[in-house]
Amino acid sequence: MTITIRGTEVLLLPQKAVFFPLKKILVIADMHIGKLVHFRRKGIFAPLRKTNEDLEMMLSLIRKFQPTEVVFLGDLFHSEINSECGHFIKTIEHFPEIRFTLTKGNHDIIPDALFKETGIEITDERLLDNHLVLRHQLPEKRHEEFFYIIGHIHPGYRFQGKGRQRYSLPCFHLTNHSLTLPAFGIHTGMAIPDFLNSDEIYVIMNEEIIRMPC
Amino acid sequence: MNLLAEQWFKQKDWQPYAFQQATWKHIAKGKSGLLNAPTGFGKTMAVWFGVLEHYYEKENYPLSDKRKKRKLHCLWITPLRALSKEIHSATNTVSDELGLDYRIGLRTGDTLASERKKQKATPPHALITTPESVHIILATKGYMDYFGELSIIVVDEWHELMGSKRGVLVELALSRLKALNPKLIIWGISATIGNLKEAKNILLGNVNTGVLVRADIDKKIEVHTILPDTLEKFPWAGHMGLSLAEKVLPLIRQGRSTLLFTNTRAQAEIWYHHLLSLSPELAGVMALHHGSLSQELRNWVEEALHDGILKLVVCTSSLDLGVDFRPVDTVIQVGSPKGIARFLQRAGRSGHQPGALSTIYFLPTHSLEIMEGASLKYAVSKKMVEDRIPFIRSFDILIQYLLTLAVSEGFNATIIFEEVIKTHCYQSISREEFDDCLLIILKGGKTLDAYDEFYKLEKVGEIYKVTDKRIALRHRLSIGTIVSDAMMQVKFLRGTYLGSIEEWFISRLKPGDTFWFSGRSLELVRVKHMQVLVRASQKKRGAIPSWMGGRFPISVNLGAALRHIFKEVHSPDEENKSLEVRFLAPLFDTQSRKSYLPKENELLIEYIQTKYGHHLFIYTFEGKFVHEGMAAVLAYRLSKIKPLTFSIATNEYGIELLSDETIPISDDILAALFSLQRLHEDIQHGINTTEMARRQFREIAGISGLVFKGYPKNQLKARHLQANAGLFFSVFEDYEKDNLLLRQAYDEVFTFQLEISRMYAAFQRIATHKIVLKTLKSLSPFSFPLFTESFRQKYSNEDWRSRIEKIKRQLEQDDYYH
Repeated sequence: MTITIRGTEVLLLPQKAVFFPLKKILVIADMHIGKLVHFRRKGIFAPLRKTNEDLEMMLSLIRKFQPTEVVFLGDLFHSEINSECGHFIKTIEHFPEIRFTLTKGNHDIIPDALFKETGIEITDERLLDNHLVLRHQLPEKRHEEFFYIIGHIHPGYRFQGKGRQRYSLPCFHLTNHSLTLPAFGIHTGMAIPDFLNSDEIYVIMNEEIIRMPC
Repeated sequence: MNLLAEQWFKQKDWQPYAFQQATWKHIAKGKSGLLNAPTGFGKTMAVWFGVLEHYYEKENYPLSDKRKKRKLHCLWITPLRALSKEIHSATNTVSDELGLDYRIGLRTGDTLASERKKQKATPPHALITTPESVHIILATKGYMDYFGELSIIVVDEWHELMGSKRGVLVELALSRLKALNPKLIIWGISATIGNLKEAKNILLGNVNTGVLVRADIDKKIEVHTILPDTLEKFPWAGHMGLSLAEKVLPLIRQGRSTLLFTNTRAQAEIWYHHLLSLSPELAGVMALHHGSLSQELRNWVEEALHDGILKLVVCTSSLDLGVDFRPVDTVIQVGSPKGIARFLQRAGRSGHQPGALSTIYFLPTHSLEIMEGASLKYAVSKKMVEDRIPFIRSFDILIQYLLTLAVSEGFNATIIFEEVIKTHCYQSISREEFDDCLLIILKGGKTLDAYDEFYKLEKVGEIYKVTDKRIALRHRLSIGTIVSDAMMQVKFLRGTYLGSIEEWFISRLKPGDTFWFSGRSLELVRVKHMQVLVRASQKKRGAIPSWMGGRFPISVNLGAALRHIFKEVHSPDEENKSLEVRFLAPLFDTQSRKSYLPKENELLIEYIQTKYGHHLFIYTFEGKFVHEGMAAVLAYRLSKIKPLTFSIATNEYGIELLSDETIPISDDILAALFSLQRLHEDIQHGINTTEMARRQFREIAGISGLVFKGYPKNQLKARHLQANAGLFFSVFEDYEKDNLLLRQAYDEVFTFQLEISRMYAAFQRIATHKIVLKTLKSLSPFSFPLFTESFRQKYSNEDWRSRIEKIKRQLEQDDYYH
């Protein structure tokens, strides 16, 4: 689904990511790579995954959209570097033509120097034209003229189907000053934000995105 | 005769009961056993003087320790801190009055670290404690030396522990302590339950045969149902019962002290609030007591009750057990007590003196529940007390226990395996299953991977140990079986701690909002880390927190008692009908008019379409336990005819299946619905246990150490390790389906939630009944409580994708857009 933010075309993808077709920038939030492995290192016996669905999904998006830049809106790695993170870093080394940027999140505790080796650029925010700002979360003092594209929240939408059936699904949350992306990682959970009447909610239903009334 | 007891009873001018003398005699002979006696008749002393005599008889035995220091002689385990305190003071009084040098220590979650240290350096003769604290001692270096001379263990209120996983903690601790001292004397104290013999065998183990001592004392109990003035104005549904609050006031006024029991903490808060507004003069002589209030607050309430200062305490199961409150002469139960044993226990809180009459008032919360008053009376008169079903094969606790031993002295797998298979809980596990548990904490499960970095346990020679201090600390903090949601501490700005509330409730509030907690109106100032800072508010209205959990299903015995009363409804003998049934006559008339009043050998099914969808109401009167499983089987059978998604509600009386599409019903279909043919397969395949198992898994994940709640006072540091049990459940379902803990979740669902064997019996009974189908124009009195039931389960044989597609279609219809 395409929406326009401050005159810029933005593609909302049911794969839980955003693509800027003009700039050819792919944006992904809250991947939390290495979460389960981190648990295991701390003695919590989460099972091992045999496949890495998140990474596969990211690769298929890269193949499909051929971006020149991929921006991660924070919480790229769940915690310290571990084998799953290593696997991810090796994978992106296959794409020297793509610029990878990470706007740092609260989970990103890996020293910046380590990132430099991986070829991922580290920054607090990535500025685009038309005062669009990519960040992990809203800054403490919001700039009036800026529009923020953020992650961190893992937004979900809960609604009541007929026959008193209840569902929660991941969504994009658009306000007059920000767009929050759903979490990209599959083992990350959701939070239901307070939606205002003036907000727009784009819920992901299977391969489709549907705009919901507030 | 027990000399110390003889002297003490003479001092008091009391006469010992036969059961007390019998217990003393058995303990003197070194026998183990189980004592069954009602509260208020001196069961503590029956065991305690046995303990004292054992100690002084053998006082001259040589000390094994070269430093000539005594070690612990007796361990007394109780399920409640409040009860521990009570036993502690009662036994200390005995030592004082008889001038004995036998010292008694108390160790609970409240005991200060400095006091614990002292207890370790110079142990008291007896230690009164909880199952969790015993395991914490087992997780401490030097526990073998500490328990080196332990001779007697007493497990108080064993019936209460036995039906929970805390009972398994006791079984495991006993298995270790028996290995340290094969002559260990073990005594349990239990209220009356249906399976007392089994209770004895589980506690003492299959090797240790012991005696069962029963006090043949009948406690007199009187049950009164509080009836509304007229039936017309009484609601057809609801759980609160506030419309009868006025009726409670005279009972409170005429009594000395009243306990008003509710089934949930939220209900207790609401009742407290409501009674205060009805009768403001109660301020100051009324208090609130439930599990989320701070320990200081609860201690204060308990002491004030003791001293007779309080006229009324609104409480939950937090006051079910133990402690004597002599001033209490009136007990009120709001809503169904859900079980006869619990009802009796609550009734027993009044008239605590030997021989006194216990009086309990039952306050129904909706009209059909009035019937329960009659069935409770019937059940009490027939002494229909439930069994307590013990947990078996609890791998979560086994994993916790292995780690407990690993953080203290380390363990040898073969020795511990031989010990645990002697317990009732683990008697059927194989060495392979035991090794699987070991593998989970050693390698993080069966999946082996070169890249794996799992780290927890080490093997040094034949001994498994935890060497990482942080892992050891995390483990000690998470010992126990009580798993709760993230709790936030509620505090006044100046620091007074009020209690704890679940995080999800607070997350819905904004600063400035008012909410009711611990009987006060509070304004939320701010939330900081895991603390909720509040100030007193003058506002009269505000949200009332509710807590997850604590939802008891009605027991099968109460279900049977209920069906018995239903026979009475149709009886032509008006004279002998109970008060409650006669009172309900107009309701039964309405039921016949709007629908039908089924006879004993008939099964009523009602069909109605409302704006919510298509409802099928089925009145099987089997009790909620059986209904939950039965509902899923019926939903499965219906959806084989037509793919459907149902939202399911159940209560004590029946089942509601609600669907967004028309439900196929014809006489043939309905008959097939309850057929015994292929029933076994339909139960096996039909019950969608995944959702139930997912809920059950929450507790298992907490106990086995998958979900870590965080360090006290330092909640934030564990953030990178936080995940909810649901996530782990999904990951296990996807990647490790044969995981032991996952299987345990399903086993627990089958044993404790579905009770498969009883469901079978129910189907067999119903198969002989005539089915009466009625299509309704408006809801009947029977259907209404089900219709308004908010707790719902889902059943579906449509896959997730097509369900989402269906919502999409529904959204496209205009009416969704308000």
